[in-house]
Amino acid sequence: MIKLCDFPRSLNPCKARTIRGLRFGLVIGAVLSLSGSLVWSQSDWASKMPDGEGKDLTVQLCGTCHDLGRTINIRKDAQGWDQTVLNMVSRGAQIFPDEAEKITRYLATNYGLNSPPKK
Amino acid sequence: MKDLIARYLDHDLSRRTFMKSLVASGLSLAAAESVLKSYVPLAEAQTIEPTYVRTSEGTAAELLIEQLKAWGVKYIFGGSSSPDGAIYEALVDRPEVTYILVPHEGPQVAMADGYARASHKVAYVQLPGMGLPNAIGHAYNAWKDQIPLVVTSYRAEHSEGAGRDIFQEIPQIEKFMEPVSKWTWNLRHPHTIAEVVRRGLKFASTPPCSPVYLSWHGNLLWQRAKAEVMSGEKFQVPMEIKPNPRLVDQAAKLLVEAKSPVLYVGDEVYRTEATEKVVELAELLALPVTQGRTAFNNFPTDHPLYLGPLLRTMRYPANVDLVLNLGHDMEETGFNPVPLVARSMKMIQVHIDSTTIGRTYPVELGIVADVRLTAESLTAAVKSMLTSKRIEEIKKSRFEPTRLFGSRLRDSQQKALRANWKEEPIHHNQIGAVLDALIEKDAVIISGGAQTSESCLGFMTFGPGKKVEMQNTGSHLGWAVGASAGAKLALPDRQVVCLTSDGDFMYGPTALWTMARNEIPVLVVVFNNRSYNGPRNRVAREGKRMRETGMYVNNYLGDPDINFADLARGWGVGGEVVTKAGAIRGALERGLKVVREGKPYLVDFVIGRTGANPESTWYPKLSVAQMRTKKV
Repeated sequence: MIKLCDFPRSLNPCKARTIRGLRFGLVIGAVLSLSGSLVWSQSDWASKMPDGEGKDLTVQLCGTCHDLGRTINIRKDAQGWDQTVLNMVSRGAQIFPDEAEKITRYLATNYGLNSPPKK
Repeated sequence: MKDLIARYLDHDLSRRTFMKSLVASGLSLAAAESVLKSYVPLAEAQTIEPTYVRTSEGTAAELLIEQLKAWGVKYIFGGSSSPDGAIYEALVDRPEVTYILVPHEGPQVAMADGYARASHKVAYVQLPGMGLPNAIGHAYNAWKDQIPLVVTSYRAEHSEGAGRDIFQEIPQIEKFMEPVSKWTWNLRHPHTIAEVVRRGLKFASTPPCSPVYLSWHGNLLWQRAKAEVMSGEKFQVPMEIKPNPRLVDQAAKLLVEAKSPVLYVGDEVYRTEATEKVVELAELLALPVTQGRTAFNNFPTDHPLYLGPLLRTMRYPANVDLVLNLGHDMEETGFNPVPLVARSMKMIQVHIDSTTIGRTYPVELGIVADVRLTAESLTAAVKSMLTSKRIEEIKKSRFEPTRLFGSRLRDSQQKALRANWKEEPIHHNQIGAVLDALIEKDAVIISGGAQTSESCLGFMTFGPGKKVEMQNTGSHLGWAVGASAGAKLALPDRQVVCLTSDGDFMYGPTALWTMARNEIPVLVVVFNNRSYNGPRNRVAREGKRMRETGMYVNNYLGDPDINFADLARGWGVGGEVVTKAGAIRGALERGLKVVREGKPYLVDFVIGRTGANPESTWYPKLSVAQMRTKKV
């Protein structure tokens, strides 16, 4: 059972009225990420990702919409990953706040600005 | 005598001659009068012209405008061109049809498109022939979303000088439009212009709708002819096609037997105004509802059964075994080896356009029918198959988990939408939150589809009696400003808000001039991050050197730094630039006040960039001034 926890209180309380349908953004992003020579294989990408807390969630919840190669090819600081994950959630990704925090931590730890570049 | 009667009824004999002939044939005067009296009503009845048709005479252009009037077309979205002079002449004494001048063919078509989307009526566009290539992108948008447009232009190719490479001659100009038209036709004779235009209006507006393209030469428009002009009533083809009852029963059976079904809604729901019927069906079995890439919103976004997108792996409901697709064409943005509808799932697809059914995805059951009627029939069929008790059991088992999951999802999304806000640079979602609080509950939102503006839609509630959302799935840039003007023209009593971005806006700003000239009060919101933010992020995924260096040739728009409010003022539209979050509310309030007073207004929000290398302002420097050896 996934537990729902809140984002920090400093962020405005939600109105919880409407769901943005991911009608364009994430769908477009997901598919365009496949253009070119990439061959979709989430397990291949997952095998390249280091183990750690949050990996399973990242593979499961991010990989539902787009290839993980898109994610692990990029380097960002913690704030950058936070923005990215929240952006995905705001555009319809089915990720809850506590999961978003774990995914952000995992990505910032393993794909931060000082991480080795993509091979 | 039979022959005399027949000739009289055929109007071959006048009444007087008929009388004389009857008497000459041996009838008494009284008997002849009696015979005449009995046939007069019949003979006169035959001479009554039906009301839907009349014969008109004039220039071909006059016949064209008479035909548009008879069909109920109120507006021509047009440009300015010499060969169309006969049409302008015809409009001088025909004020029932208003010519809306739009200075560029792209926004002309976008405006007509917005009008058609909002009014559910066919829109008529008259392009200069040489401007036709400018219009193709927006014609593509209309074609992609099955919007009814009649697009017309003159062509030099069929003038008397054709074939001599004369001025503006493009052989087979219709080929530009063929890929995005249901029908193209080149008019040969002036007396057929009314008929050809009727056919165009009928083809365009009969579902599945589409643009059609008609062309003629200006010489022809001045030629005089006689033609029948007809109202549209005799050319309406009812496409409210009921689903085959046998297929409805099969679909209902699949639906009630499914362990984990989802409802997937598409634009046929909007087009057939079926939302309420679809809601009824969803509520009957507590079906979780999803939506894909669409041009319109097709299900109330605040409904407890609404879950947003259909994902390749649905987290909830788990193990989907049936997708009931009501009116989605299964369009995706590219090839993806992982199917959106897994092979293990069954799909029922309902659409009026048979070409969309089974086009890419296998279907367990395809139904070519009106989506509203199908939803209605399915509801009735399910009710006939199950007892009320069983329906309640199913509903109970699904409704609460769906509501809970949806509620958590809403919480999560709303919190994410409100995260990372600063005073400067403005985060685009800050604008969405304030905008939602200020605009009318039933405002019409036209979105150019940029990620920044689209994200703001997450704050808003769409559905019947609520806000209406329109985008285009063609994604040809520069649509939103023109389309919002067209939508406002169709719905003058609804607040219309245009959400566009700097990249999108620059492809179609001239519609602002028409907004100012025709007092089309639309609030235009520009999300200005001084970059092509979406393309930069997408190319960054594979572009290792670009990511490492921050050098993107396709990204930065901030040099020169465009002031969109100044641009708007140039076109006669008031506006302002906002750079700090604290100023968002005031600017939007001022804009909405101007709109309420009857004028358009533009707010240029300078916002932050997001994603990969947001700090990048690099672009390939080139100065022709520095290349000079002479200062000339």
